[in-house]
Amino acid sequence: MWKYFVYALALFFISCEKRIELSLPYEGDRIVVNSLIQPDSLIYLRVTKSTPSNVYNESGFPEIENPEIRLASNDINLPALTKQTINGQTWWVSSSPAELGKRYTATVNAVGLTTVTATDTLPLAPVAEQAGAMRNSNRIQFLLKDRPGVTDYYRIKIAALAPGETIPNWLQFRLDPTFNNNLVDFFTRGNYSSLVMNDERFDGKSVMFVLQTEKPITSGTQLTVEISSLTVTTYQYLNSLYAQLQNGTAVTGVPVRVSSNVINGYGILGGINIKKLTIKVD
Amino acid sequence: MSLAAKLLTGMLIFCFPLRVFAWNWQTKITVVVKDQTLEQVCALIEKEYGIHFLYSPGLVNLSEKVSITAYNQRLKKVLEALLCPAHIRFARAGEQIILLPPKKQSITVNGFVRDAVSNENLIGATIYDPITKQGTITNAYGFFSLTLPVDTVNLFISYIGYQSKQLTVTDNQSGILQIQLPLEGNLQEVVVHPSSSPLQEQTQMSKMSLPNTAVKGMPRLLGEVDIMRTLQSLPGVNGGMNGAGGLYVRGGSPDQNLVLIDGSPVFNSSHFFGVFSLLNANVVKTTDLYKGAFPARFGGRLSSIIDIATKEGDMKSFHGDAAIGLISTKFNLEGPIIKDKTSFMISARRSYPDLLIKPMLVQDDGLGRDGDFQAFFYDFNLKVNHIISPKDRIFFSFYKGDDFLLLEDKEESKNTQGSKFQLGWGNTIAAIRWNRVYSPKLFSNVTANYSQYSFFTQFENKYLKIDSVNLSNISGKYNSTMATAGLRIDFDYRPMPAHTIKYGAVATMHYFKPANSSFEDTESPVKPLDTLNKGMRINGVEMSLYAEDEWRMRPNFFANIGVHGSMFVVEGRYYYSLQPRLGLRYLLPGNWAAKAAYTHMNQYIHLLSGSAISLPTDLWVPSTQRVAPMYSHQVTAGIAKTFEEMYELSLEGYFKSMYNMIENNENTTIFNKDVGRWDEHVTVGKGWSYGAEVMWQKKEGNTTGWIGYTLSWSNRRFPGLNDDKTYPFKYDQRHNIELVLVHQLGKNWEVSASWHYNSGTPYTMPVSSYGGIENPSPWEPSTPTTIDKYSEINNFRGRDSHRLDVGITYSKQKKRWLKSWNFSVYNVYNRRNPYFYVMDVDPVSMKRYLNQITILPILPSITYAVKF
Repeated sequence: MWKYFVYALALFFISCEKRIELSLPYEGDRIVVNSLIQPDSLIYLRVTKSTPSNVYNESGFPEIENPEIRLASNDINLPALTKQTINGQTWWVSSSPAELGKRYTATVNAVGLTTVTATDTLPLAPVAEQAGAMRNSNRIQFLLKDRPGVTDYYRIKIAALAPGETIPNWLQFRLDPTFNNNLVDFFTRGNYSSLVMNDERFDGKSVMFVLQTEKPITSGTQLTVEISSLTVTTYQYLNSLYAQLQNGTAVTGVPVRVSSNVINGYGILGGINIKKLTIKVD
Repeated sequence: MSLAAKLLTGMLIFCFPLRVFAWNWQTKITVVVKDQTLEQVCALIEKEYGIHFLYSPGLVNLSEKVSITAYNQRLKKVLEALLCPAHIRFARAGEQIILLPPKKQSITVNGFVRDAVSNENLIGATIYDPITKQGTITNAYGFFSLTLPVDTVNLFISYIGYQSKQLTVTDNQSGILQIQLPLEGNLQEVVVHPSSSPLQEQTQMSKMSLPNTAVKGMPRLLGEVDIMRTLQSLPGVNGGMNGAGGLYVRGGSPDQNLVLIDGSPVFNSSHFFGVFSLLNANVVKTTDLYKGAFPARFGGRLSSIIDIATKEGDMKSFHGDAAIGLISTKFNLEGPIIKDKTSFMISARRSYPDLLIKPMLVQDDGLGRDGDFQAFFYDFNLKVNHIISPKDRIFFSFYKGDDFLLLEDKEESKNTQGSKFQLGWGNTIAAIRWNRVYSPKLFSNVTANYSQYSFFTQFENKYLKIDSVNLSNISGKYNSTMATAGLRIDFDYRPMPAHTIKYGAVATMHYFKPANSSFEDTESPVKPLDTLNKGMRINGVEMSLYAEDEWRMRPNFFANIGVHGSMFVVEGRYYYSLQPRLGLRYLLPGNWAAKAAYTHMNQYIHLLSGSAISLPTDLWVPSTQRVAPMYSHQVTAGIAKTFEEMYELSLEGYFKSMYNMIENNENTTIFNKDVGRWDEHVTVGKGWSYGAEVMWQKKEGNTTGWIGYTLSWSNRRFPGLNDDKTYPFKYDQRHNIELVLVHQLGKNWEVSASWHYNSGTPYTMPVSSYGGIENPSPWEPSTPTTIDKYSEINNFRGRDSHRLDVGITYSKQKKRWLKSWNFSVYNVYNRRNPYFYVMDVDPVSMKRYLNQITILPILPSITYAVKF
């Protein structure tokens, strides 16, 4: 008897869903420029087009055929980028590596679309060392030496290459709640594929970071802890990007707007400097 | 000179002073008359002594017959004996005596209006003199004082649900009147009169009064009679998402509402995440909602005052009621401790979804053998009132209400050895009040109160560590507390017929202790990164003085002029504010009244919210160096009229501007940041709301109810948000219609229905989508990233909402008690109103679409209640 009563009560509160066919507003086609520039590495730039929000682009957004791309370093035009197809996508690649201390500007033009421009510099490499992990544990740690007096921006990711595999996987992890002293992290039990932060809580200090992976690290796994320095532009972009992705698909409150430095268009042209610490867990 | 000439001259000298110059108040005269009019007596004196009387026959009535025998008496004494009984005044002007009409007498009538059966004070009862067309209403303690320019007055005393009473009071009657009104239902003959002061007789505008009977008559959600939901049925009040998101009054946000229970502030006015009110409606006597035109005695919030008065307890006999419904059970008991001297009222309510769900969980072994599950809310009320003397009365009231969730999982798995999660929040309120009638014209109330809101959550997890055989015990706590302790004194002073003055002083100590957390891992050697989230403890003192005068400036022109001055001291900083209040009323022909009001309000505390709706986790914080106190200006104008003594029509337009409001900075969530520096993560901006409200109400008869319509706009502008441009507030709903009907069907049946409609709520939808990038090298593994581009905030309107609720109550009077069954259906035609939307993907059509999530579908409920 109780059981049926409970079922009846639950039925009362149960939410129901209904598909609503509504025409969403559309701002019109815009050029999208995406490039994270790593010092001492070739510059890869991708040019696509925006679509209305109700279009599902499972395999990626439409590419712009034959865009006119001008890449400049400290306002001096670099040689034309070459077109390459990598993993099924079209990328425009520079002929020479990016150099630290230079300011890069990309200008992209396409028929029927407004010309866009984006500019950024490159950050110094992070000072990180002493990476370590224990077999069958879920904790990874490394030492990060932060520069005093300036605001630094970082991103942390962990890639794992299990024995017998050739392509590494990005691990889900989080800052150890004890280390982060963050009760909300502990309650939510959330794990992320990357952490983006600034140094407001450890400016100028050498901090031993403790990360907690979602799953225990098995023996024989090769871990790569990727610590990236970011420019403020890249930091704002990645921080807001992850926040929007984390927000999910519910339309409530004020949504996260992803930062962009592409004038008249969307996307990012940002500096990043990655340092990789590799650990072999035996 | 001949002897004759000398004699004549001597007589002239002797006589002239006597007849022309010689009289004064000491002059001796002789008057002996019987049953002669005053006019005749004056003529006789004039003839005999040459004393001329001057008067206006239209003003001075000398027709009264008198008899007097005065031999050689002083003139003044004789005139006093003749004229004073007729209240005719006299004075000398040159050689004449001027007769003046009786000086206008004034009478001050004061006393209490009470329920004839329980002796409960009736708040807002109308005392009205139809001759002078002046009146007043009882204050929050049932007291009234009315000074009228007459010596005898026929007063009309009325109150909704009670039989009106006519009372003749003469100048000779003094002392505090104790007027008792019997309930209409107890009478064989019901006299229908205006149940409250006609709208056109009230200078106060933008005020809605809900007596308990009106709240009880509404259809119920899951069997619960609910005050806040009833308030949402009034024009100008928005209930947020499906009525579960707090109250939004005239475009303001929920933190701008001051909810008072017996004069004590409440910080969280709901149970169950906003679905139910914090108070058992059976203990509520009246609820007053002020949407604007705030009297000077109120301050501290921008958008509304919700003044709830609870019952005081029957002074004569024991009564009670109990009800069992789908979601909760409650009881209420009241009675005398000392008959006609001391009474009490005690009430309790508890919900019981956990009592139903727990057996299911235990049966399915979902929580392990000794696991536990609790999920409920409860509230408890106690009130004691004691009459010390006819002039002194003391009240003690106490409220405690909590929501609580416990989930204790003792099921053992591979690594987990059990976990425990608790969540709770609630209010604790206590107050002592002392009423004193100093004189027929002066009444005072002294209140000392304490109000606390606290939220806590606790988590405990025991598990075997992955890398060891040791048991790890992780536990964490998080709590927030907001408390106030206040002392206030209020005076009601009625010095003369044209003035009703209220003044007083308030001192409030605020205590803020938001977002305190502690975290412990018994096995972890990890050193915390920092200790930023240790929370903060701040004390603040708020003091205010106020004065207001309800002034009858002309027979048809009235004003309420007031000022509220306040000061807030926190962390060595001083904030102060002088807030003028003005209300005007002009009586037009045909019993119409035109009204206008201006109010300036100030608010020293802010609510930090991490979501689109009010949640128990929201934090109250004081103003800081960077975030100054909020303030608002509101201008209201309208007309009002009462038709046929039972229909009321009001039409009001308003414009409200709000300043120093806060909103989270774009892309920040306040709870992920250091609360101690919350002001760095918010942006400070402005808001505007304007609109018009019309309400047609029927207050008497077998069918009562109202229809209300609101046309409104509400906008916000915050630096750093929406490219610094103005955008619609999240509850900017253009049209709102409320229809409420309650019909008495014979002796035993009552049916009710309410229909609610509001136009779509704004949402922020993307204006396009594009691909993102996370890595510099395309050779590294990655998944496609879709970014939604958002442009303007709240650029999209959701679907309109509407629903119909109905209820039917059957009551039967037994010998000793009254039983009743109520059957209600919420959302009768199962309208799927939007609660929120989700962007979903249809992989077949390769489209993204909006999925509308709906809660609270059709919900029937049944409640059984007894009353004795």
